[in-house]
Amino acid sequence: MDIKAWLKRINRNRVLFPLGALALLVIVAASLSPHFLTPMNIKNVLSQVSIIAILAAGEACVILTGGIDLSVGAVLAISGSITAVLMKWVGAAIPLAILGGLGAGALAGALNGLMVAWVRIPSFIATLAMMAVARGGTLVLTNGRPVSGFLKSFRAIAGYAGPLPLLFLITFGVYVLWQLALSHTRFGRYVYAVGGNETGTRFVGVNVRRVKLLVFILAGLCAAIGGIMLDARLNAAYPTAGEGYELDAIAAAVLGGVSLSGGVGSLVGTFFGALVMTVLGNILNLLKVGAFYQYIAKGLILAVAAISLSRGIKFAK
Amino acid sequence: MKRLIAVLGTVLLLGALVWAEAPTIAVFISTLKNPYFVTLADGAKAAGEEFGAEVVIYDAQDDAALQLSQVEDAIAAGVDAICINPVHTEALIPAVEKANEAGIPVFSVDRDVLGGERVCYIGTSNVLAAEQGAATLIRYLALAKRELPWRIVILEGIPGASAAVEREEGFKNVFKPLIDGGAIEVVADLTAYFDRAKGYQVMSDILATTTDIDAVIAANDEMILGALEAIKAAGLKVGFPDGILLMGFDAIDDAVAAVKTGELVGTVAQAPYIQGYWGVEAAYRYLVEGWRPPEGTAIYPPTGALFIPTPVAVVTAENVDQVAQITRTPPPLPGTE
Repeated sequence: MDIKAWLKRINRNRVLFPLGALALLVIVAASLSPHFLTPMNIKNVLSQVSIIAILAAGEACVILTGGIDLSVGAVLAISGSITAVLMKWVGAAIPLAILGGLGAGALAGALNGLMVAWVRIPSFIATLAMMAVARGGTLVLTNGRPVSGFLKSFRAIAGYAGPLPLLFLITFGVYVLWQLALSHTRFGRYVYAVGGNETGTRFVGVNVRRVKLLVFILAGLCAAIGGIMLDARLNAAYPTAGEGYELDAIAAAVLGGVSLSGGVGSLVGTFFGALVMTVLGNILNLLKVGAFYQYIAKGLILAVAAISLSRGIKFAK
Repeated sequence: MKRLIAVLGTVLLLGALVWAEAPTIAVFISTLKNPYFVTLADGAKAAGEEFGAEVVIYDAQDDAALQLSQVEDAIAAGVDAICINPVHTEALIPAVEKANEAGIPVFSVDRDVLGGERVCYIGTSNVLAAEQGAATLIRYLALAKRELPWRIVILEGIPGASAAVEREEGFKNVFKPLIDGGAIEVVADLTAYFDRAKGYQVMSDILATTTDIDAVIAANDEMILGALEAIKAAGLKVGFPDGILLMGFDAIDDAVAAVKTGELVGTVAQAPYIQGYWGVEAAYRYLVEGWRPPEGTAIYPPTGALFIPTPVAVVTAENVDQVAQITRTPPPLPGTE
């Protein structure tokens, strides 16, 4: 078997390059800072990646169908706020409050899906509208103020299970489930099919609308999980939470090899993409790079990573 | 690539040698998009150069989650002290608690954190600042040789907002004895919600009842600038010595310009530069010289922290050209003389 074919086979899911980029970044980071591979810093990175990674999981599924979801940051905020308000102001039990937050996320996702699949508004615009409404709703709900000071048992979500942050385990669990669903169920195959060739998929009798609806609901659910995790991490829900996170989620998916035109990519890759983004921020902080230079460094490294990824596409297609 | 790593490694090694002597002080800024906080960061950097501390500035872009991550990273990187200008008073409590666990001293700057152990909170005392603004207004009324009693209007901020409550307290501290002594008569004491349009509206409502007014003082510049427009629209004279005297708060650009033209007698300027400077100075002296907030340091009631108030300057026609310099010249940190 010649090398090219071998690479092609390994890279079928386009995880080789995100993994390579991550490995390279980790090696460079470890050689630049003695603090990088300390248990404390590893715990930090795993906590930090959890929220962006869970948003990226939902985002990646939407992008796989050829759509985009700009509302995940705002849905994170409204779900987190609803859970916080239910706990603090309504006095609801923790599981009930969490269900309320998750329900809000799923509802927002469902509305996105309805707008896109039934009303046929382009997903960019539909989710932009949802982003504005959800952000406004958050401000109305909380009166523009943070809601804070939760019970210890709720804050335990941001605690540790042995050496591992619970937040990370939640995210990891979601990834395993989602990846299994994508690669081993009919729904998963439909997701790729819709993204690859929507018209063709419809002609073979797949209910494309339902696939899209489900994918947006999943993205909304992921955002809600992220919002609740952020509540626990900060011990507060605040109305501007998650602003701009949709771009980080999209970047993580694309860095992870998910094609913006749909149909190509995987959740494993997306996870590595999210890790690349988080480790990048972490190492710049560890190296104490000044605020202004961090922007430039991040931009340059993202661009370099993207170049290596576009080389990866040659092998994949 | 190898050579690059080698070069970077060498630089880092040299850096590590320098650290061994100079403490590293991490300064977390809520957002560098606001010029106020850029000035604060400038003050912090200047103190770093002055004292030979390594100052690292982090920009949280108004994102509490990002700021928490930055604090975690800085703790992992082994910084010696933390100055934090929190994005939120409450959402950053976990960050302070993590620094406490790691045994790293925390100094809050400009805005306090509502939990965890802070060595002290370094910020503006709205009460003291409002007292200075009110006292300056009284001085100008006396200079203008106005007939007693002086008839004044007070415009308050958003009811319940901490800045509004504290500034109102400062005004009252100065005016109360004069009111009791019959030297001042309060024509109206109303809220205009820190808003320029509301300031205009409330002032024009007051003017509809009387135009016999000597002075207006407001808890922020937006309101006083609104009131200024209302007074001008009513055809009344403003300014020292024979017009209505107006005193603002915050020294925003529009207000400073109005001080220059004489439409306002003054506005109170905070000193973010000194806040940043003192934050790093306090952290450095804490680490190197064993500095602690001096005996008798007051508590900041809303948060319970030991409170080191930074100086403020009242901008008037006399000093309007030197204000930038005054608010950038840090006096000695309390407890260091």
